[in-house]
Amino acid sequence: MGERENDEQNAGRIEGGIDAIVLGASADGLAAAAYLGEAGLRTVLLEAGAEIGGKIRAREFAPDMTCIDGDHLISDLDPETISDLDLYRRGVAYASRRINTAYFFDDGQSLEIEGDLINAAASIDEEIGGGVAFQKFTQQFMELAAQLRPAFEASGGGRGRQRQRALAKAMDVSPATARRFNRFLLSSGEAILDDYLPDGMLKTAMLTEIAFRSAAPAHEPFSFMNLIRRWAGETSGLQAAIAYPRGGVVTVIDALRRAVQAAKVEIRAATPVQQILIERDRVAGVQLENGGQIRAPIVIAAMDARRVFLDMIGASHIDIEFQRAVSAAKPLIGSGRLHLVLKGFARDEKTKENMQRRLVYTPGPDNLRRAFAAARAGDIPQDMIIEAIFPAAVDEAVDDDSRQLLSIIAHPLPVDVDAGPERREAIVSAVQANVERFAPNIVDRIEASDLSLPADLAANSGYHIEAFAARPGVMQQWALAGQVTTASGIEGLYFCGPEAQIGYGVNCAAGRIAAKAAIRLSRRGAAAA
Amino acid sequence: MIATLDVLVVGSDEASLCAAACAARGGARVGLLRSKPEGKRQSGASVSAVPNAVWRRLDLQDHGVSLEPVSARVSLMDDGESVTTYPSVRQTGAALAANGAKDHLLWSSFVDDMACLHSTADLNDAVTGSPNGVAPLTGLLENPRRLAAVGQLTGTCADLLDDFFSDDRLKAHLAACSVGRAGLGGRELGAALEVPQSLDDGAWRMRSTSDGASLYAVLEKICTDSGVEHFEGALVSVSAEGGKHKTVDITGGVRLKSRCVFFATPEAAASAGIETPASPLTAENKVTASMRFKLRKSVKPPAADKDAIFFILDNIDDLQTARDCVVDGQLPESLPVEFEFARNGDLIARTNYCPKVFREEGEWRDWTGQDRQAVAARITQRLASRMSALPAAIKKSKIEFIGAHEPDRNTPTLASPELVVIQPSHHNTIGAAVQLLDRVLAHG
Repeated sequence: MGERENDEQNAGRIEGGIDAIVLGASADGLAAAAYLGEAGLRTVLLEAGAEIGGKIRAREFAPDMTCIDGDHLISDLDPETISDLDLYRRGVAYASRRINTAYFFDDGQSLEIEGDLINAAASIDEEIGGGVAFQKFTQQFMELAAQLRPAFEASGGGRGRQRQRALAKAMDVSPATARRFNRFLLSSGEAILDDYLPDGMLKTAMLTEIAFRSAAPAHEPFSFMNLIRRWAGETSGLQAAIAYPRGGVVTVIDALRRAVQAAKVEIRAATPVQQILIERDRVAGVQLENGGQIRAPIVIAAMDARRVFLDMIGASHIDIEFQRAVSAAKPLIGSGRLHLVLKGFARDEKTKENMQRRLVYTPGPDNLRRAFAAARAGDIPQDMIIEAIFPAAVDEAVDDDSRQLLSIIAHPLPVDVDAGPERREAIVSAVQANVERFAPNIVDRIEASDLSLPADLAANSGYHIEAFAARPGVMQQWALAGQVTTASGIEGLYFCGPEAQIGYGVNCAAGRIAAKAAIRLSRRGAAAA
Repeated sequence: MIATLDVLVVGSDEASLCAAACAARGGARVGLLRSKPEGKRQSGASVSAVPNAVWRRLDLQDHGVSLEPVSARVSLMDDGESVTTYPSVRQTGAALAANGAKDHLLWSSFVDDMACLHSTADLNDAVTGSPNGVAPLTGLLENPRRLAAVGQLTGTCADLLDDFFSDDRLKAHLAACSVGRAGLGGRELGAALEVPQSLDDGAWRMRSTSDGASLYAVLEKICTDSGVEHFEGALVSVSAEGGKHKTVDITGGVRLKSRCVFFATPEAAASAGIETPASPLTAENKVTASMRFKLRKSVKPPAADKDAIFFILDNIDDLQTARDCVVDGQLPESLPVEFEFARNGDLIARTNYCPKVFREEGEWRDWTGQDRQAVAARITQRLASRMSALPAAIKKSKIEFIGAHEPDRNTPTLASPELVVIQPSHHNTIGAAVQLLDRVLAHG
């Protein structure tokens, strides 16, 4: 069985004899399908769009230039999924790991921090001093991040208890430690950083990491945990450090697809699902838009929660508190992706080395606060955080071509449901103005550019725009993830959409956890029969 | 001589006095440190309700105290319209219906739901990181029902209100009553917590009736009678030397030993110059301004009676805009102001939206005399925008700032922030302060 297009003959037919259905071929959906297939369940993976990969997909946007939508780096790929699904053998390889970050500040200064944070103190001491404070800071919080790692794993399948144990263990030292821990959990990033990294570039750099891709600015409560969440990936070793996979993030999707195919799962692209069938509080299968039905006792949904619970299941099957949780938050802040093709690059070693880093521009704490206020009010901020990489350079494939692709994530931007051409133009020039501040005269070198906003991703994937907006602090994510994965009350339904994940980026743990819980249910069912 | 105390309560408001009196009645050795009184104390402003338990512990009825609730909470919008809520659910529903608010039918279920959210008191404390909090957060993350509550309480006030209501005016009013008190923004995470708190019975404020004794005077007397030692002056330093007791220096060279130093409200701590936030959710970088107007002739509020509490705001986004200004070091253009009429006819206005430090042309600077005048002018202008007769009626006015950063300000040195206990901002000010001090004394 392989991929096959949805043919007209299927319309109106009822299919049976299937053990499990996975909805949505995002990274998590693919991982879940692979797990189910490997466990011997007869599984069908349905994707509404023509292509797989969710928001991560490669496309040619200029002659001979391919860009990858979604993320451009990997920071927390689930190590268990990597080994269970043999992703290394199936094509995932890292071009560079623990990429160094160069921070550029609004006053023209810059600072390089090694990707290996624990050992970064020495080089910081050499550059600007204050290495000791930074080492103390990273050590303490890396430790905390390591303790909390299980708590950041996606919920579902009894994870609540495991999370609680992890948290309890982290706190169960002394009342004083518990108090301090509570403070880290609830405090704003600014409040904690004020205590540990008094003034200076290091503080600004860390503030930037906290605010980057978050819906809440670093001066608001709960934001400090964003940093701990980022570092939690790092603590599981090299495997989950910030890295660039050879060939781009899209190769992870390819490897997952190979795993799915090896597990003999049938992938049906361009097969939109209209409804998840519920009979007596149990999943009965799905109703396709072409009129066909597929019956199965297990459905794993890897799409956004609104689509799954409100559109496909319907309000009548879920209780009101749960509906509220799914529909409560309004998306206000998101990130923008800008790809630029630049010409005229020198090919000497120095340039090459400079291009092999993760480049982060930070407008500083004051401007950052204003940026969030502006984005929240729906305006395009003057200043923003820029994360940029040269994919070809970090992939060590800088060839003779003097053209280079620059891949940029800009944050924060307002989330527009419908951005017109003028608005897009304004966003592009605002992002470029910020890039200019650390890479002067770059605008003259632009050959082609491409902007992708949350609204574009939503239009491509058929998800609601909320799925692509930035999310607030870890506390809120915990609460929502716990609910979408456990509280629907429908037997046989598992959820591993974006809301199930704590943090951002390609992770796959949610898919793994949902699939394992589904496999347990299926075995129990088989034993009972 | 060095006095040795169980607790030193610092502050001169009703909550501080109540906490000190209750602790002393419970057998603790209590000191009460108040700043030098500048002339006669001007009272008459409303205070949070005195919970029954506190009332009984202090036998307030024996002292002729009689309190009556503030009649209503009224928001005055910029188009001359107003929204009014009352302590009674039915009365509020009827008022909303009479006012044409579409959402009046939802009011009672909203109040019920908020009470339900609020009743998980340990959850409240855990989510705010209040020193009151015993249940660590960890226990909350397993149970889906509690997860739902955590999600709501840690969210934004706007999201919480959007769930129930569609009428922007009503939402603005509810935000003003709840979030406005804490000086937060409507779209700030964690601000949702203020909403159920503001609807709790203990949050409805009270005033002494004209024939009853003043609550403040009675509390002072009870403190003295139960052996509270009075000190006058300001805090200079708190250090941990001396084992179980902290060494506290106050102005005038007086040195005390106390097991704990307690602030009943974040304002009390801010007045003493303490910069540590009471809890992680406390709005930082804000200054509270309180202004008292002596009036030549009485001014009629545009809606409801003179016994109500009034809020001035233009629209639903005002609070967030104001908060953004404060964080950015600016004085908000449409400053949210709260006011009421005291028993003696004075008008008392208050705002929680002044910046701690100002930012001018990219540079941060401390408060100046001009800033103080600007705030006073802005408050007066906001009041006049709702009561055109006011400017002509003002005899004189006086403004006070709590927590403003001034060059010559006395800032006590704390050896470590953990040496003092500060009750976070709470709508039920008195009840929360008494409860926290009980806990502190019980657990050391």
